[in-house]
Amino acid sequence: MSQSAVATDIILEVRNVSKRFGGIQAVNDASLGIERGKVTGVIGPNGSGKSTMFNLITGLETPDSGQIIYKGENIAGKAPHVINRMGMGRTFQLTRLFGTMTVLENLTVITTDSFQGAEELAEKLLANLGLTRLKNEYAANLSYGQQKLVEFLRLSMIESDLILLDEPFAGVNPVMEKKLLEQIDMWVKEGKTVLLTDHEMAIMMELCESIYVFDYGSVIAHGTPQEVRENPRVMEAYFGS
Amino acid sequence: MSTSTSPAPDQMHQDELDATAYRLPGWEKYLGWAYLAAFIVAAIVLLWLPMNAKAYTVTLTLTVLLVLTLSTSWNWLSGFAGYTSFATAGFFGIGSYIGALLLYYEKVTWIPAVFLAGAGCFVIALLVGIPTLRLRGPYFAIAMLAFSELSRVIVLSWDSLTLGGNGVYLPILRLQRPGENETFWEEIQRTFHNNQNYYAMLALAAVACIWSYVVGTSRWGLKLLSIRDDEVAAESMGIRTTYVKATTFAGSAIFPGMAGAIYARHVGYIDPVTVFAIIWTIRAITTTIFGGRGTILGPIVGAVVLTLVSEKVWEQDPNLYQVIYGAIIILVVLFMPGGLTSLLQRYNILPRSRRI
Repeated sequence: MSQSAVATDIILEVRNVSKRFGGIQAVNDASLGIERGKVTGVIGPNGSGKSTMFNLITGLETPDSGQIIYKGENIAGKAPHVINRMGMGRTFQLTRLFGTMTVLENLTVITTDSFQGAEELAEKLLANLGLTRLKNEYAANLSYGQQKLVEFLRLSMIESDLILLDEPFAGVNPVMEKKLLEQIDMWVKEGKTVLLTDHEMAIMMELCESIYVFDYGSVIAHGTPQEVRENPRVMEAYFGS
Repeated sequence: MSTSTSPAPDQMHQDELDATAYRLPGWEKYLGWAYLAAFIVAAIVLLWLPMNAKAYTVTLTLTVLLVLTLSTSWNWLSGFAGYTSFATAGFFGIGSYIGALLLYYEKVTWIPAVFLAGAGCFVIALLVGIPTLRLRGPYFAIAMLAFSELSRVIVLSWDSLTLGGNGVYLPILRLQRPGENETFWEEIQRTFHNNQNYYAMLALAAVACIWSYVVGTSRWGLKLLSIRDDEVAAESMGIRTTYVKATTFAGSAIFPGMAGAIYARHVGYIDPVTVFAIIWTIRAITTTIFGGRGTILGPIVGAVVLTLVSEKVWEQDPNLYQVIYGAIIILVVLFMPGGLTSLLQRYNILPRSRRI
């Protein structure tokens, strides 16, 4: 009974997933449970397997072993576009906009051909963040922060229930940072689930309700920000012995 | 001191937005109508052309239309989606042979033969494209080079069907002579009959142009561009990249296929060396790069300009024009990598519109 009650709250469950690249064990028997409607953080030193975990979840990599259960279905090894259409969107550590396309086109391109209201929706999203002026600008000409924002807006173009953000605040000025945080807030209010990783500890501790700590491809700690902060293994991973 | 002169962060941010904002000129929204007008004028002129032009002019125009068809169709996958393909010669040759052999063995009349050549190339492209389009960039290009070569070798060695290296002679089109007291209507009918290959190529080129406009202005076209810009991001954003690439590749193979069948009938004799020649691919690539990859106008403008220039050069020296093609590729890549259209856009003569 209690098992199924818990299961309904979990939108994404990663079960004992491992991934090896040649001699490097990027992810080692890692398990995560992401609760619907909450902001969950993944932290850990560089090279601890956070980005690989994101790539495994979104289908860019196939796990060597383990299961990834999304909305009750094992998605391990499915194509990225299939997983995306199941309602999972993501951003990348370095922004990956379509450089030779305009801002407006970057937003409309990912919608299906039958979706007639794409332009209107895109214009509305741009207006919400005060970016209307940029709509006909090539994405490659935007500043880094602007590109991050457009990448965020791209996630609102399709029905994403789970949003994965890979280091969204890295290299972003404080004004942009505020805008990004506002957008995350908006998603949470809409009932979307957010899974993100970042090195900005202050923001992560403030934003996340639950945090997983990675080190050498394994989950070494999990809990509320408070619990994680007080965990001696986390201190060790971050500051060494 | 410094705080009073430097703007607040929010103001800085706004300035940043203003500095890069690009506005389309007002007349951009009439581009579609301008194209329609140009298309109709060109169609009337070209339909009328054989009425009182020399055979040389008609053949030269047919060549322009042929190159236009090859470059425009090459552009969909290789310009918009960035997957450089060397398969044009392969499909041109296969289409020529399907069309020519159907006529040679008297299976069908010439118009169905042309359509069957297109259909055959579509099916072959689908079969070849689905596995090879999983390859990226240069690997796909090399696979297509191999495909063209392989097609040539198969046609050459399967001589029980294709007559091998002897080539295929096609039935001669019997030209009608002007009768006495020919009425105007009879003259039109005779012109149409005597220039049926020209009119077929004109129709094919017109369809290619229309299709190019549809691709270039549709969300499908944007999907192709997204594959060129960042295929991994496109996949992660839910775009079915393999499906988009394979169908575009197969759709664009129809055009060199049909063009090949018309060309075969026009020249009356084909052999593997001429119709599978790499120069067909090179012409499609050079023309598109010169005009502008991934644009609607690029391959069309390129076909007209380059074919006429190379014809003039050909008159001087038949071997020189291949050198000219090589030189044009190098110069364009070095000095105007986006081609003519992008150069005009940089100087704000043309708007940065998807309809260009």
